[in-house]
Amino acid sequence: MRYAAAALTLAITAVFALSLLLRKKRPSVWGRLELRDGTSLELKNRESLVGGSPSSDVCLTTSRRRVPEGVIERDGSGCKIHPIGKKSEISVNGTLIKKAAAAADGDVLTIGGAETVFKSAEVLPEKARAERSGGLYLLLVLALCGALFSSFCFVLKPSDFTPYAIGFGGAAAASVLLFIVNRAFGQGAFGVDAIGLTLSAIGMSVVLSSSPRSVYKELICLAAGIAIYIVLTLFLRSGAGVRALRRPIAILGLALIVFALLTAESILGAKNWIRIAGVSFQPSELVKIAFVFAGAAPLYSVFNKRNLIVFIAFSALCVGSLVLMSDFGTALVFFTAYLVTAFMRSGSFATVALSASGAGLAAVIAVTARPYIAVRFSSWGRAWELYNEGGYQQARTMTACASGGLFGLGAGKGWFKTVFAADTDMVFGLVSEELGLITAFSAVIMILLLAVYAAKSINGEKGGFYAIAACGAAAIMLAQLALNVFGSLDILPFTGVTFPFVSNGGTSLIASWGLLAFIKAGSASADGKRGG
Amino acid sequence: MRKLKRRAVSILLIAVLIIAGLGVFSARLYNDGGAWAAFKGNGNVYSSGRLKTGSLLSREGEALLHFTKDGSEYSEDADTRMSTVHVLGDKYGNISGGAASLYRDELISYSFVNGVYTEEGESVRLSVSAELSKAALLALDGRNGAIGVVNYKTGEILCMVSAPTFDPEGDGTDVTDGAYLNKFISSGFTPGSVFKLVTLTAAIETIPDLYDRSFHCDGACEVDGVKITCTHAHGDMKIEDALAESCNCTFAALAAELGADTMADYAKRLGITESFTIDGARVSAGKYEGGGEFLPWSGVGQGRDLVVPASMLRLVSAVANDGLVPEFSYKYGGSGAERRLIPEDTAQKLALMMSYSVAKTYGRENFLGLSIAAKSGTAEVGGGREPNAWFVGFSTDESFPVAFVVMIENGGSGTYSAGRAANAVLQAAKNLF
Repeated sequence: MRYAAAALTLAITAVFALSLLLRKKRPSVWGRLELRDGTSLELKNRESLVGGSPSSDVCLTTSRRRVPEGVIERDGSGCKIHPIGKKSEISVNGTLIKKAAAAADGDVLTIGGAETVFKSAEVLPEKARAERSGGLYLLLVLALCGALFSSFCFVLKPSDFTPYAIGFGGAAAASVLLFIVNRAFGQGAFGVDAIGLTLSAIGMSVVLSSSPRSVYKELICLAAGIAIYIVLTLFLRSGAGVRALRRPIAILGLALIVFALLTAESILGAKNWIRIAGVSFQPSELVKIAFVFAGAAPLYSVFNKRNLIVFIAFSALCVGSLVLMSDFGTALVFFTAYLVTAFMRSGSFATVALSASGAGLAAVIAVTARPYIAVRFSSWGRAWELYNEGGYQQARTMTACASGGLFGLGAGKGWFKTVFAADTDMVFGLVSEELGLITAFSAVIMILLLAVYAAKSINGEKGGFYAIAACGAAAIMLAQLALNVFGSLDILPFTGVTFPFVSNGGTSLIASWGLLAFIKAGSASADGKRGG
Repeated sequence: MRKLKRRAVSILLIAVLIIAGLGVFSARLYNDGGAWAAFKGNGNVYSSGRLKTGSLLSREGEALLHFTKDGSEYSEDADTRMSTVHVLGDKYGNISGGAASLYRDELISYSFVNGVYTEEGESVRLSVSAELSKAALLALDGRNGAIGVVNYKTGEILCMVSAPTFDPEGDGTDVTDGAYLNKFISSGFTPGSVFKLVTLTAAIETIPDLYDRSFHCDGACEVDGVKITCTHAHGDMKIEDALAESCNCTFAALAAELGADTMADYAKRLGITESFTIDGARVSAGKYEGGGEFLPWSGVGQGRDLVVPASMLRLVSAVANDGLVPEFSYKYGGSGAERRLIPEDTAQKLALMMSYSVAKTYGRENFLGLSIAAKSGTAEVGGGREPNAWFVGFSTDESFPVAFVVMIENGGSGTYSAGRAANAVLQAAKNLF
């Protein structure tokens, strides 16, 4: 039984990694641009950059200029063409366009002087492939829930079983439910769901070990998280609706964070908790979802500098508010997501370098003006020297990691849970101690694989919006992961952020599922049947 | 879209950094995991800083100290408890350098693969014999001091008793001044004539005609203007008789001839004034001061010289083992490491003279059934108190390779009081071989 959790998490990680490695899906052709000389250029991506520059998706060598001229977007059976920049030279049937214009089969598109004829191609609906691995994932996740429950049973009296049975029973039920929904909507790509479920099951073990009474709260939040996940993934399938909601959601997010700044209670150093009707939550967690929405953009608007400036301003407001709330960890998470998103949108190292140095300067000013901030980071790298002071938590996290060995002491059998924040900021130590390093490392690798999944799913079948959103969401998870794990192990400064899905914390769990929706939506296979 | 795909490398870069971070952590865990797990804050193996798993066994295999969730349990036999408490350490950490803290990495049974997971605690078998320890405590006969016995081939410490001692399971009323002190490794005492071994070593190596010389003693003499006295007039003698008779005049003159720097150099080389460790437990350094008026008496082991019993034991172990001394260890089987303390031929010369001392002065009949080489010491401590009694040496029998040090505070004559205790301990030690 001691080896079961390690074996199962390792198996789920391996299956997911393998499916990523083997996944090779090429988008099919939905249109063509035919040139005068008879050559024909295929349109495969939902959004394709066209122009004379060699880095364009569709490169017109006969074009006068060596720059991208516009973006051709698939629109029903026809297409929409978006000019990029003021100098763009695109005309549809001889009329120079300055705004997006529709084009139909047979229309003449002149791009940078190169004359082409748009021909639409019929896309053959591919047979929805049965997701064979979906069942296997479900089986493994259910087995993991069972294994974790049995592990607890070894240290419990039968009369105390109830919360544990409810916790893992609930997690198992949620897994089955998600599997059914996934099948019902023909979504496929259950691997992503399985990763979320596996990490949530590990999180359930953490909650049950450290505070069994919180299991009901955890279950409710898991249910809410999965509900948001289902709604978001389904909603994200409708391209136009998503774009329309982008701005309102961004404004809502900003409003939430400003509201938090004004009213939030200070709990344990960071002033980022809001209490409504006896339920306290961290608004910054939910703002992560809005942030991803705000950062994502369709390909054609990526080339509009004004859009980027708006996004930079939005990010600065978010990060700034978090710093004012003394929540430096979350501020760093947002900043990382901002850097990745800004780079995805601009491709400019200058923007990234400028932002980073700007933030660095701001940090120096902040530390100079408020020296107590520096004190919080002064124990970094000296955990063993200050093991009963500033390095208290980090030293004990390392001790917990060493104590568990590869297979752990068994769920509920560790000591580390009695250390303050072991189930949240230092959860890597708790998982290592009780479930072993293999499980803890697997949990980390699962998040890394989600990032690889997000990066790999940019194969053009879905537009720029999804690609940027998926990578933005992945960046948030990676930043949290790095700060949580390495902060508690004294490799990075200890800032106190949560490990996605695994840390005990309701809002964090809900937000993790919300972010996961973007990663799943980034992949076309999540849409099941094509052409939807 | 091709551009976006390329730019997505940015998140893969973060992922790679995280993998690098995991690498750093794994390397640290691999190297320092044992120390992390043995950290006293680890509630899996400690309760309020006290171990809750593992056992320390005697050489004979009996449990000397057993750690449980509810606390620690010492041997059921009170004499065993009192004679081994300085080896093991007490419940509250008053005794430093106890085996319970030296071997805690092993007691918590840490391994990289299993962490501290264990069905039942790990036991560590010590080299220390419960029977020999009891015999040594008995030989001290209520007097303060220290007795150490070591296997000079393996470095295993067979017994280490320090007195005054106390019962670690007791209520604390028997704890007297100095009971928490492990005098074998932590206390420096005026060595008296046992220090002549240091002077002799320096003389053998630096005075070419030492063996050809004849020394004369009238019972008192003046060296460098300092008056030196002997127990009686030794007359004319060779160096080996000077050692056997423990002639102060001879050794004071040798010290004066060698000079303070040479003497200090040998005291250091022979490990007398250097600190060393026994499985991580620090042995205090002794002291040598031979400047000015102290020089003549310093060669006799009086004046300001201080020697820690463990260092003296190490020195005679090296003499016994042709100059090589194995690293001392409290663990069964020893540590396996050794270093050269004395050149081989010098060690052999010293051994021969120490054997001769037993034959001529201490009397073989006082060590029946044993074949030993030794040096006694009767160290004046002043203040009207009895001198400290020393007796150090080793068995010359290859099948019984033990070296010993006996130091009895205010014990009187080295030969009679410490020598007798040494005999009692060695007779008991024979049972171990």
